[in-house]
Amino acid sequence: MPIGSLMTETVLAVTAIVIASMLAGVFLSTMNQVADIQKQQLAKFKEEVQYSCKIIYVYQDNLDKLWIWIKNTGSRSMSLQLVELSEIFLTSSSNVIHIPYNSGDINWIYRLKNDANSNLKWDPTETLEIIVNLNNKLDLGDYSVKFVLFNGRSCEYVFSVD
Amino acid sequence: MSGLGGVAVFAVLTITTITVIGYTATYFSMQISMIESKVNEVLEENLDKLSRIELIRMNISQNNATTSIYVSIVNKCCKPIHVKDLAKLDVILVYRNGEETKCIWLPYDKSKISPEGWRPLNITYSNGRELVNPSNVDLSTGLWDVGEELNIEAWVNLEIHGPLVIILHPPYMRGG
Repeated sequence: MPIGSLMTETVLAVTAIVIASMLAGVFLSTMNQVADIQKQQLAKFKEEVQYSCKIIYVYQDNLDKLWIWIKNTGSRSMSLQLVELSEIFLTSSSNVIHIPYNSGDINWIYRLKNDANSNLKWDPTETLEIIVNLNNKLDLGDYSVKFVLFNGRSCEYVFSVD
Repeated sequence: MSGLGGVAVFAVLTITTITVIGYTATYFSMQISMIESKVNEVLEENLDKLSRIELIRMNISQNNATTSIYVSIVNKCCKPIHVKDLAKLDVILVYRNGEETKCIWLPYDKSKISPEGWRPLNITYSNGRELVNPSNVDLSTGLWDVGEELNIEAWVNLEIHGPLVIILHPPYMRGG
């Protein structure tokens, strides 16, 4: 076999191996990135499940107040600071109102209803009583109230007033 | 290029390709298993927390301007509830006072001291004593097992004339 041909083959073989190695390297790096993204998504999913809520009942009294009872259906306790980072949205067929915690004309405050261990945390299975101070009584109609937790997880309840 | 060189290059490329494909397949398979196990773990954790109750009987009595409501509730799903956790049961009373609808979240009050509240009375099975995980008389130990009836008394210091609704929520439930 001529030396020139042998060298060509060697160069081609080495080139093929180098290209294959580079491709494998890029591929493995991409795989690791995918794995990281999956881990982040799992962690987010887990956090969302750990922090969740359910609105039990909503009632409007005759003093322009809306009473909302919400249960902590997650598996983690929430400090009162985290509770206060929550947001409430009241939606009717014609309007959406964002209700902030304890500030402004329309606002909400809360009480822990069955804090059996008195640790001043909203523990799993415990109920939060939220009082929404409205300026006026709600008009007759259907409404939806959405309680959004600090991490974006939310619970919603549809009710009507007469 | 001679035949030998071509075969060598082909062999190297083939081996590399097979290795990469094998690695990828193993990697994906491991990732999918990991995700499945994590998701199952989280879902099982949630399912374990799930409980469902059903109101089967309600009697109302008025006495000295106090309305007492006796309610029987069956644990329908999915696991026993410890009597200690009964305090986390939500009892909400909705009633009509004249033209106005009123609503009260009743606090758990085992000693019946508050003017309004609710307390567990006993747990029964088929109108008799519990068979499984019996609770003691003062309901400080024992379990409210699936299929058993929890009898409770809710009261308010006012006379309720007309219909009323009692809303009950178990301690554990799915969010949303």
